[in-house]
Amino acid sequence: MATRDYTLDQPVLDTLEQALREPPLSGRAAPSSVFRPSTHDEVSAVLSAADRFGGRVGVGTSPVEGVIVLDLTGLAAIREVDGTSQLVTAGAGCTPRAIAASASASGLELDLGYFAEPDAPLGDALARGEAAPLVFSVRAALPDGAVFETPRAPRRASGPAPEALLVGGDHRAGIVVEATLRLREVDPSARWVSLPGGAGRLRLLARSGVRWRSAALTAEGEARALLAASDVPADAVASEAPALPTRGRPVFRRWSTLTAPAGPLDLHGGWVRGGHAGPAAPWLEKARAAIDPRRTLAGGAP
Amino acid sequence: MASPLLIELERIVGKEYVRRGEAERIAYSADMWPRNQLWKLQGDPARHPPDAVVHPGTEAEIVALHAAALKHSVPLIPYGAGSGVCGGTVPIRGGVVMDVRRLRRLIAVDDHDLLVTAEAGIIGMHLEEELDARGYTLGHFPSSILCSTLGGWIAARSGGQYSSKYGKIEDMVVRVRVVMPGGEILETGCEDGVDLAPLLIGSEGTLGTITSATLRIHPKPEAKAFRGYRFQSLDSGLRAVRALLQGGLQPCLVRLYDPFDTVLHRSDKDHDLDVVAEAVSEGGRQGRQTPGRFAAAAKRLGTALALGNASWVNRIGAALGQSCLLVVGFEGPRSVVDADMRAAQALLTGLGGADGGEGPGLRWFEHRYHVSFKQSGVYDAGAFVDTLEVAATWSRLAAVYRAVREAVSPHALIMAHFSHSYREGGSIYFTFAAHRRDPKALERLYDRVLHDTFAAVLREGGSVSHHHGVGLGKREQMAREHGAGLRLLYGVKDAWDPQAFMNPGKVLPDRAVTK
Ligand SMILES: Cc1cc2nc3c(=O)[nH]c(=O)nc-3n(C[C@H](O)[C@H](O)[C@H](O)COP(=O)(O)OP(=O)(O)OC[C@H]3O[C@@H](n4cnc5c(N)ncnc54)[C@H](O)[C@@H]3O)c2cc1C
Repeated sequence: MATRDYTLDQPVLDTLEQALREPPLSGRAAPSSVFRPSTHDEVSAVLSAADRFGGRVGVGTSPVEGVIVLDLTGLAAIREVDGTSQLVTAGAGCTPRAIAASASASGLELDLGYFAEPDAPLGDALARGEAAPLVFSVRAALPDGAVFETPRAPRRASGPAPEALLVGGDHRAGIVVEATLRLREVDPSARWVSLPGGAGRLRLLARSGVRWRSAALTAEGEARALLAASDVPADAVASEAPALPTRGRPVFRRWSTLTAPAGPLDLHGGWVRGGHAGPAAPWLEKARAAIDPRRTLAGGAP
Repeated sequence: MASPLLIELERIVGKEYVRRGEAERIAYSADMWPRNQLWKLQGDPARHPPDAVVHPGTEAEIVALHAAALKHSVPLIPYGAGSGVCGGTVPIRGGVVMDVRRLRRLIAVDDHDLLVTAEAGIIGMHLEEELDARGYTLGHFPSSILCSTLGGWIAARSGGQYSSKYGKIEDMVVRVRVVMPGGEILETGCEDGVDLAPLLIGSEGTLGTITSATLRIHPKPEAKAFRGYRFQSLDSGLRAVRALLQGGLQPCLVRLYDPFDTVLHRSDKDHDLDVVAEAVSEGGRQGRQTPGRFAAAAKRLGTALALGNASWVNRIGAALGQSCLLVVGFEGPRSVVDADMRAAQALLTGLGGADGGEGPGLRWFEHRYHVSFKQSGVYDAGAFVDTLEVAATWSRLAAVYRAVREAVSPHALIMAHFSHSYREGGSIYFTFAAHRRDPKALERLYDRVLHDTFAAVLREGGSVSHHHGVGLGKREQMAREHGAGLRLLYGVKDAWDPQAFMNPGKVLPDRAVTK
């Protein structure tokens, strides 16, 4: 099978199965192909074929040797804006900017500050663990192709949260095909204010009990670049570089996750989240091995 | 229990901390799950006693206890304070119950980052009092705060009365330290992309024993304010609550009582269970006089219940009116509380709420921990009473409420309040009660009510649990709620506890095809 883009239709799937079945190409030597599914059923079909015949499936846009690559940009539908619950459900191939545009038509706002690249596919951002506080539920495909959605209920207590394996999970416990994100009302009266004093001032703000909508703490140079590309007034930036550890994350991040004063929407993932990582990685690997014993899922493309 | 294991347990924690007496085995056979009471009514006071109860005093002892239980293939059941209401600590396969309440230190308060680290066995109120003395609050106030532990909260995904402002326990936890089934210690964090805490939070002792946790804290609020409003209908009340939350206000307390609960909501009772308990007991004890204008109503209600005439009581309740009481509260800096209360007042009265003044809220505040321990009295009178807290988005919440009412009304008295609200939805807290003369028939009725409730909730797109967890009581619903996603949770269980000795039989249903 040639290394090129395919739109998935039955003949292509048949060819894929055929290729996987053939002895020289079976198992780990699966064909290097990029598929661009446009439905969840198609994602499911590829996974189920790969699972049955020992192929490996990754997510990306360019071919990878020995891996069937799923290009999820075809999953670009915005399925629903639920204005009543302030939620939007969008395919993994949608860009956060497109989702935000669709939400704003309903008078709602998607906080793009959570995304490092608002013009890259949502699925990539979620696989990297970005925007976790915005995620309400996800729809994902398991290694054998079964597609499911995590329960759509706020702060449920029905056991551990499987989302933890999917958001930030690099598509290795399941391939995220769709997500429901939290929105908020557009507030026309919102104003940015500049807070000289950097992290210290921000910390004071956080413990003041004053309600605030979001805050950004950035290194000065980066702030200028970001502000130039946004409609935020140029003086709305703290002048000090952050004194708080950024823990390997981009310097620019929304500090609306700071503490409760920013509201329940922002409660997940605080500013000092994590800390001593401890030996979490082996536990994660063990869980992935049990979920995907045949190692069908190859993860996101490098 | 084999004596080599017993010797090992005694070596690990000391002889005085291994208990096998009848009293202990009965006490630790049950938590506050109502089914324990139904079994008791059938002459079975301790259907699932543990073989032994241990009281470790250190994390190292917990590590050693894990190793011992694993080596001897004996179930190990972490135990906080036994206030769980889903059977989470019931040792259905025997084994060793491990009560962690001797690990009760507040380890550190970080004034810079506003964090507290405490051991898992600390009782909730003790933790709050220690924080209060230092000028902070955790913001977590379950009604059971006097009789539940930090570890139990995390293990069961607890929610406090102020969850609209501070979130539930999963929102507060920054790090959690766990003795994994094989005895390894894992402290969660998210530096490698995935934070494993959300898998351990809500694991109810099935994936390890929580020994300590670090949580966010907040400066002690300077001021509080409460106010009650009456709405013409449940729908208008729900609309107002949604507008309050989505409009950006951050009330700490939002409690909307449905019409029946509004009628029964007595000034000195916070807990629906209390109302039912007294009604039933009054019905059973005709001679006793209770002063006050509610006594007669309670007696009538109790008598009707005693006759098993729940559907009639529901109809009377519906006929008594459709109006609903909403209680809201704010806390924080005085200036912010005042401004927020003014904004809420304008919004709620603008949406049709009749201002009922401070009274309802202040009374609620005064009695907020008057939790009901009258459950067994209700059962002794031949009735059952249970509560179920379910969750749904705003677009599904009213439908879930109606479907459950419709399904349950013919069989049991039912009332509800909406007590945990967020921007995207909230929780409904149902209380059910019914009566049958025959204990076995009572259990059958109880099963039916639960079955019909769960079916209605899931059909309408809700979750069967908002803050009580799963335990034994809801585990059969997990397949339907999670679908094929349950396989992720089975995978985690298989990977981390391959011998399946940690609190077996809880949370996850027995293995079935969930494709
Ligand atoms: C009257 C009453 C009112 C209540 N009100 C509320 C309320 O407002 N909000 C609310 O959320 N809940 C409420 N509950 C339910 C109950 O208090 C909570 O579920 C609480 O979180 C249980 O805490 P516990 O310490 O008693 O845990 P337990 O009942 O001892 O255990 C609960 C589960 O957690 C596991 N567990 C306990 N400790 C640990 C540990 N250290 N490590 C690992 N696993 C552990 C157990 O194995 C079990 O599965 C109420 C209960 C009662 C009886």
